[in-house]
Amino acid sequence: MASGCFRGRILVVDLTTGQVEVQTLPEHVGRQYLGGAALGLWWLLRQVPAGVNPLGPANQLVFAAGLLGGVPVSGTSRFNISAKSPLTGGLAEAQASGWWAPELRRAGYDALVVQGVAPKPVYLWIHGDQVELREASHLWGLETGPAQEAIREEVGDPRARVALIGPAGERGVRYACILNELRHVNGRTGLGAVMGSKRLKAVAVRGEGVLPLHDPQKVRDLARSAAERIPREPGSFHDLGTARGVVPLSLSGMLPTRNFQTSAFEGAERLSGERLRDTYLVGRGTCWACAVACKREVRIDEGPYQVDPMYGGPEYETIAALGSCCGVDDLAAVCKAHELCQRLGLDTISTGVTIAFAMECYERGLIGLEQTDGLDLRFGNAEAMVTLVERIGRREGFGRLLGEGVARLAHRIGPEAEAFAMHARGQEFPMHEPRVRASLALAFSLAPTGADHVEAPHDVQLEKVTDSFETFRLLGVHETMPVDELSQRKARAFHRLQRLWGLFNSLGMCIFCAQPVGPLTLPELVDLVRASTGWDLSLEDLLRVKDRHTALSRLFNLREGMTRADDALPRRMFEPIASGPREGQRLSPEEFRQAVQTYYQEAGWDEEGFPKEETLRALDLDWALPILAEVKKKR
Amino acid sequence: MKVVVHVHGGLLRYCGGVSPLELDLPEGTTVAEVMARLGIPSNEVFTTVVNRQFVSEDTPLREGDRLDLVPPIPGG
Repeated sequence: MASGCFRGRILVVDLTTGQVEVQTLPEHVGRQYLGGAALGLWWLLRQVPAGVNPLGPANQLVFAAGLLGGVPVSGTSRFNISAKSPLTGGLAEAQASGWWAPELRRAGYDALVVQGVAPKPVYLWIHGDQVELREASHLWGLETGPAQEAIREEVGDPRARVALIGPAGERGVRYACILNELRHVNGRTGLGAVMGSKRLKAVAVRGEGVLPLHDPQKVRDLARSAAERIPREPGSFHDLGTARGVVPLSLSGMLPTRNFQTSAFEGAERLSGERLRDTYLVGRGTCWACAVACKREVRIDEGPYQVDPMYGGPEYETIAALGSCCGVDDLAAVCKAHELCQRLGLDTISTGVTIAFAMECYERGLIGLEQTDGLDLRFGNAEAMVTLVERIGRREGFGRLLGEGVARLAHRIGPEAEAFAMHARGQEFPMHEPRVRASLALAFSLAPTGADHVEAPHDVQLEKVTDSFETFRLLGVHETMPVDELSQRKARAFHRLQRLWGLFNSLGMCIFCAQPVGPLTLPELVDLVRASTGWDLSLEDLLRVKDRHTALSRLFNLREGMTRADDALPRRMFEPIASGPREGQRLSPEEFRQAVQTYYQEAGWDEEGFPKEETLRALDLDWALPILAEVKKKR
Repeated sequence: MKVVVHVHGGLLRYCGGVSPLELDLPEGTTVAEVMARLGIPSNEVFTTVVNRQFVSEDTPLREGDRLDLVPPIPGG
């Protein structure tokens, strides 16, 4: 049932049979799950049975626009893709912004579900009311750039928005990604490998008409007001992108360096956002309708690392993962490695952390030249790092093993390596240091997808009272606390803040465009939902959508055999940082255990980490009670 | 005495985007006094670093020091 921008329609495509159908979503499902991550999970948990092979025909891919997808306000273009993960064996979710979701919305759908496996490679072409499955054998094996160009030419529309995979996804690299416009990436949890296993090269979309809104004038007013408050001066996101964090994080002892052995990098200034701006930056891209324009476009025409601007440019996470985490301070090499990840369809975080892990294994003598195909894998070897990115993406030689991810690689090498295998739940650590930013210890260990840095606003913002503190108060966090404090009150604060960013994942709101990082305040966000849909939902009503997601994602992972033992961190997190301004800092195992238990209580789970029956009932999740009973019976 | 001040991230808006700044200051000027002179509010500074070492805002500076003023980087 449509209501404003909520279309109430899911497009379901079965690749095995070629059947296409449109299913209607009841309005109460829209109000309770909104879109994006919560809607995708609602579908997945009901439609995909436990224990399926993530790379087999029974897995499903759910592409879901956020509720606000296509509403013309800065930061609303994010969408979520869900499936069962080939990397973790649990829930796969990843968000991307860009241009794809607003187009899906204009085509008349809130979500697209892909089931089955095509007998031969195909791509999907959605335009207006037409949905076509097209032959893609001639595109199979192509890098993302040429594949996108060929698809746009074939469909005869240069403005078709294309989400696609590269060779890494086709060949089953466990952390392969899905890209749109070659530079906006659903990066994490291996969704590209799931898409490849279905022999689906791409989904091209072109909509028609204008997305209906309940109160278009109010939406315009909110859009203008928010855009006027977006900073564009030197040092802003617009000026430096997320790479503005490289030097400050190193100076603060928070920049993962040499596989998290230390947290400050002597080469940080050579990787900085300022240096990128002053050397290789040729443009600043943006996402649909967004005035922040934080994206990078990099070009290098000379030297050993020539880079095509078509693939955008590296973000902070990429610069740190392929740079400092590998001990590499050559910015051109990092830009090249980023471009290769985009060409081949690799998650830059997992790629960098897996290479960094291999480098540490090499330096400790756990692997040698015979395993690395002759590559001298010492930290700082930029050439070896770039070579390995290509080999991972093409699943060649040692790269084939690295494409399995850190957890599987460590298991193969042995217990000594597992101590510094930087993953949680099987997913590689993002570029933040939990021994200093203590809330990240909870984000990495408790995120249903495995280590995730976009679970909740980071606790650096909790140290002092700034303008953004009003947002924290509205969420029930009233006191400042030190960034490296891991306590029960920190766990309570983490849970309350997680409700907000979890909500963003279902609204499709970018974290850089709403408080506490961006301009849109929470009352304005509530107004925007009302003006877009006509639904009279309070902030608490909206935050409860994340509560549903938290409960259901836990059930999803429990059903797949995960236990509270998986709410864990690698041993390195409980050992001292080796050097730098934070030398000696470590997490306390006891404080960590207590904080995890506090989180369980806040989330309405029992001591074993199972959601309580009354928690599910209070969230109108009675339909999930049989799943809870089933997983408890098996224990 | 002369000190060099590196201003990072969003704090650059307080100095017209220009960093580093070479300042000629009276002996004994503290980190807090430099921040006040630049108009940078204390609550917007996460870390104050002199010659790569964390210091408190009441630390007096010395000839040739490098001061870094670092905002909180929210992450994401």
